[in-house]
Amino acid sequence: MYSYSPQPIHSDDHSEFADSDHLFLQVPAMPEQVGLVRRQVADFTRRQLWGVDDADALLLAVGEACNNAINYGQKDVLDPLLTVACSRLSSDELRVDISNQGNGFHPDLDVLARLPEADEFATHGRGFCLITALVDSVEVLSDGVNTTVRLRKSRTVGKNL
Amino acid sequence: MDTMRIETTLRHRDEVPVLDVVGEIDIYTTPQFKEAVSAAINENKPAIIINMTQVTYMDSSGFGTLLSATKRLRPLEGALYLSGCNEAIQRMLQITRLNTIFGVYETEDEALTAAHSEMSAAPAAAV
Repeated sequence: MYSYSPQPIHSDDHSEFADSDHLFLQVPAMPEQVGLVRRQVADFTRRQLWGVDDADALLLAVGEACNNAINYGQKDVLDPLLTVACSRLSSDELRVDISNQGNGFHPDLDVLARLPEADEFATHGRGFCLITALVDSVEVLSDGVNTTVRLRKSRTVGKNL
Repeated sequence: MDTMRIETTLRHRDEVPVLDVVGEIDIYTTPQFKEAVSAAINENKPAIIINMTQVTYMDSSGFGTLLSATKRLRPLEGALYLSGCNEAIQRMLQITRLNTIFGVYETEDEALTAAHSEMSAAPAAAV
């Protein structure tokens, strides 16, 4: 059980709550927001004293999941939102939920996880493969209205920091 | 709002176009990156070096641009040469096996040497 005393930050275009074990961000589901999300998640992993390799891997996976949410979700939603929630599950494990309004992913994860052949010039289809390679587990949760990609990653470097 | 963009500059070394890129290549900046790469391809040279030394982040949307560029260069017997990729980008290239498609070099000099070597081996491109 974790105590959660969020510190709210609001601006015109995004909401944010953060404490030492959590980060909650809600931003317009627009490409220009993904950089902001990555920087906030990077700050969060830095606060957990994660090493560069693990932090970079998680950051790349989060970035790809945000891209998918923006590209494939919320087609029929006016002013769609992208929600990112980070939680420290233990000293060595983080969970990040990336949610969008709509069906953001193909329902067959095996299809998504299949990497295009290296000599194929397909310009899409590598994002989900990267996510699965970079984190320990990926779940796609959908209730028909919202889709959440849940990433879990354990620290592999500097566990004794 | 996050307004970070990338900066690109096209220069030449020994007649080889070298595209310097500074910043992050992601879903937001990829259109700008794509435009810069396209301008380099339009010079109709078979080899293009992309100097990645100051690229701090690149995701799969950036890889898509590089693959499109490679496809356009193939009729010229040409190729892309990436130099100075950071460890995270190199890791992604390995995971996606795209390091077998692009030439990946530590330094721009190494990329230039490889480009010249390929160009001298390939038939002259039709102009």
